[in-house]
Amino acid sequence: MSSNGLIYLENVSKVYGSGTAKVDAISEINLEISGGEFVAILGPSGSGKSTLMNIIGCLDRPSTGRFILDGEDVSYIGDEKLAHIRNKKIGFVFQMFNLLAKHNALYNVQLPLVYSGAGPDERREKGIQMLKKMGLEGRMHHRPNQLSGGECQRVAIARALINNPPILLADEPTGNLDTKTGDEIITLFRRLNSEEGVTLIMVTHNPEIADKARRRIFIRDGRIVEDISK
Amino acid sequence: MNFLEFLRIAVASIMENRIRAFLTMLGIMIGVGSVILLVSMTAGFREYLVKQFMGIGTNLMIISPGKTETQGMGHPGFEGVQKMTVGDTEALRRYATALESVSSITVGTADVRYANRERKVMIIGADAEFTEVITIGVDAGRYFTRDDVNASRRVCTIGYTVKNELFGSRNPLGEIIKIGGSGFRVIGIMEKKGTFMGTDDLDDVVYIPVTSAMGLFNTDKLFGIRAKARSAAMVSQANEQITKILKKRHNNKEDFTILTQRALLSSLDSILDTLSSVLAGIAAISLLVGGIGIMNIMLVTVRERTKEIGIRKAVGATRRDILIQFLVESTMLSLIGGGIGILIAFIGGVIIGWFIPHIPPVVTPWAVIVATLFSAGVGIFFGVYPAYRAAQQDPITALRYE
Repeated sequence: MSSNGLIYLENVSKVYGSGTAKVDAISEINLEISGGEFVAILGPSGSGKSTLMNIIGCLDRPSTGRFILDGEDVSYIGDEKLAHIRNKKIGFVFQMFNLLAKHNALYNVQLPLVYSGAGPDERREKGIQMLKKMGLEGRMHHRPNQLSGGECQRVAIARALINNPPILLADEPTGNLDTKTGDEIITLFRRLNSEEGVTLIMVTHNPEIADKARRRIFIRDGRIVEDISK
Repeated sequence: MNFLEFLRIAVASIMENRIRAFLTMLGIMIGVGSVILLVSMTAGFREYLVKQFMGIGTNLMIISPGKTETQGMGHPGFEGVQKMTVGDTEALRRYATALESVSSITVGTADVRYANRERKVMIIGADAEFTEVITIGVDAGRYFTRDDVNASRRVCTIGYTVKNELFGSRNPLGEIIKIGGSGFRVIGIMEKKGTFMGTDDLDDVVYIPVTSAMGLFNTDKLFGIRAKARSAAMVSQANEQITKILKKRHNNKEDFTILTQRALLSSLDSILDTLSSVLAGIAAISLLVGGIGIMNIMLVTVRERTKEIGIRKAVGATRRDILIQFLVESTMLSLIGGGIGILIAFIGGVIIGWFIPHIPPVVTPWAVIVATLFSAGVGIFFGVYPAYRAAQQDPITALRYE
């Protein structure tokens, strides 16, 4: 196996606990995802798909195995470095949106730039630009509780993309939205993927949503059981 | 991430919970306010005392019979103590070259009567040199002379209170008053001295020649001797001379005590220093309590904002970023509290100044600086643990927190 891919996992396992309470969340996962792919990771709850997501998203580290992200071995690097990688290379979109409730859309979108050291003017400009791109120019000064679910998710996507990360990780992005809004989000994802070449990895248990991806990876009991590309 | 950003986040967070922030700061406010106020009050009191002491005279030396131990619990016994006499004063006047002037002094109380008015008054018997030794002048008439003293003349000068009480608006000069039954002619009125330490009325006094006083009180022993050194630099030399001369006259026994104004001031100073630190220390306990309050609230804040911490970490905040964010917030709380505390101390000082006009508190700059640094220190010290807890949050768990 070569390591030319954007994401390259080799024999990655994650074990929680120890002794008799030991739980293998994922075991010996081998996976390669190239730049520009649109991948859906499917599996029932408890299958280990969230663990895999957390490792790919650099929120967690593998217990054993190797994880190479964009040519860099990030398997066992320190917390500070991991934070920087999250900041530069990963954009997260969550089911619950995870926006800062006390701040408006504009500030929420800027948040990753705060931690990459951009000045206030640059942040503001980029934030406005990104919100416009998401069709939210009229919603910049609204707080999350003044926005609809679809708007919140678009703010979250704007936040995820503001640092131009190569990878967008979405965890059940439509789980909290009605079907129509969910479809709009997926359409947005497809456009970002095809037009801007953003690598999209989406965790879901909804086969209908997963169908929109070009590649589908099925996980059960911590192992990849199927890997289908259209 | 630059520091301004941390400040911005802290301000936003404090403004979000204004009442809670205010209550949290209250401890620090009270602590800083009371520390500064108490230190200022002792500083004001010290200034007042120094002024009072310097008002008595300069380079004053107080010589009293009996040896007072300055250390240990020695009994100030009067066994074998030879009385102090006018002869001692004469000897000092003649041989102690470091002294500018010397005066005997006897003190007693007697009923003073004029016409149908009577008053119990302090009688001070002194030499003509007394007005040179201590800072006191005559307002009207004259003070008694050496001749008056040598001849034991029954003349007196009276303080302002005595004049007002006995004579009212009448002119007392030349009038005869009865002191303990003997007639004395009033030859002068002493200038107004006010009160000493806020209690003793220095104007409720009658001065008479020491020789007449000894006759009046039927004694040949002096209350003490008051002397003035030629200069501050000569005080210690004067001390040696007095000791040598008096020992020689007293069978080579040091049965007397010499107090200098400076020694009194410095012992007063050390008492006030102790008082000041004890008071400040007690007040500082409230600072400690305030600090614990800050820690408590910061722990609550960290818990409340677990999700925020998770989000910030997910988008790239490092542990250090989170640590500093919460430290800045706790320090800001403490510093604002300290600032308001300083303000309270200033206002409190002004108010106390209205009530006790002659002892206004003196707010010293170092007390303000120390209080500011201390409150910043409290914020950092008590903020470290909550901030550390925040920084240690696992982003995955923090994101899941509801």
